[in-house]
Amino acid sequence: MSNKITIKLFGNLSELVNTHEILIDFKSTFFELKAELFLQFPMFENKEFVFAIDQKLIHENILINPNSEIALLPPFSGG
Amino acid sequence: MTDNYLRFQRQTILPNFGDEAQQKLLNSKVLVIGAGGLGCPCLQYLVSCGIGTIGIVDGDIIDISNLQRQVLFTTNDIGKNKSIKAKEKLKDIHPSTQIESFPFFIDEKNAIDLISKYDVVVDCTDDFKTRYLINDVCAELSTPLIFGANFQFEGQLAVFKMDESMINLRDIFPTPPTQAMRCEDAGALGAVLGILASLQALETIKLITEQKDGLNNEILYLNLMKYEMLKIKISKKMSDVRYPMSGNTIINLSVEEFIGKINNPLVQLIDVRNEIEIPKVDFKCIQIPLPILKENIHLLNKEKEIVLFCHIGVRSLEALELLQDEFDFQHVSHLKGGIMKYFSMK
Repeated sequence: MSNKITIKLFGNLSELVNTHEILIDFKSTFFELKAELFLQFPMFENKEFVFAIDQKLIHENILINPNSEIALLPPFSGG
Repeated sequence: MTDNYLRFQRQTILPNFGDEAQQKLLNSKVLVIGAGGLGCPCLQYLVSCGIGTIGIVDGDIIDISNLQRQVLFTTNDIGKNKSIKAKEKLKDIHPSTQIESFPFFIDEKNAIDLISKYDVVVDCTDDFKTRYLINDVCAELSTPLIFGANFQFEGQLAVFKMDESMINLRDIFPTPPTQAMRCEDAGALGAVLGILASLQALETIKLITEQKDGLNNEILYLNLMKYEMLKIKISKKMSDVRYPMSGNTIINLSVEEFIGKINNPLVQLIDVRNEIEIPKVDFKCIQIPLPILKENIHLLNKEKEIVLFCHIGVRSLEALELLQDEFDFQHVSHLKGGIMKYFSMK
């Protein structure tokens, strides 16, 4: 049985899957995790958002631990 | 003085506040851009707490569909300009607050002029084009920016202090997003906007009174339906590092020098902004957005002098380093301050 990791969703991303949290297979690097996310949830692939891992915006490939807090953050513009 | 003492006593007795903090508020100048769902409640709190000078920028007129969330306006105000009506509603709250209304939209031509007169800017607008314009001008002028934005029951709040780190909106989303929905399409509730606006006012007050806690180059995501909150540290995107590691000389062109390069047959002018970005330029150049510059390097003529420009001079510098370090270009320079500087000085 493979380990799972929870990803929190914000904004219109949660509308796409009708939930504020998804589970995907755990991967130990950010780039692998990103690939896994798009494999399991292809609807996110062409959406605009950034990744936050453990309360930091992440752009570079980093190591992830199984307890990391991961969130997908889309831009908002309403006012 | 007695009037002010009584008026502000409930806040001056707060810890780390006192008369000193109150004086800072009374001396401060805050520009609120957008007098809509965020702007209206934010303005009420800013005026009430005793900000000395408040500017309100909004060219929009009040529509019946605004009234469920834009709480300064009433049915009788329909058809009137928002910044003028807002000033009218606010002026008696604290009569010593100087309120200036600017009944037009902020744009590339007036942005520097408007923003340079204020200490802090509160972005209460509702579209990315304007938000990026405000961000870029605040970055250029090192004016702190309080950013707030709404999507349905959720909100984003950020404080860009524009300190040495120069962290700004482009470090989260480097270019204006194209997909986000406006409130006409996504929906918006006054009670949600009121909370976000109140947080914007609170961060403005904390910034002016120099409280040591508060959002600092961080973005807060709030889900007010589920009461979920996430505070995210923003780091400078590595690609935006201003100083090259290579030790190559960076040639920064002033606007005068840049104008001298226009129409010079020995010079290739390259706009590295994306196609959708404005302002459009009034001279001949080649547009190669920075993200696809590498693949299009064959469009550049190594025999000519390459002059790069972008919006405020960050991406053009990055392009310059790329050309020097990876493609060995010798004669390359960029417009310091970008096209915003060019249009402000031309």
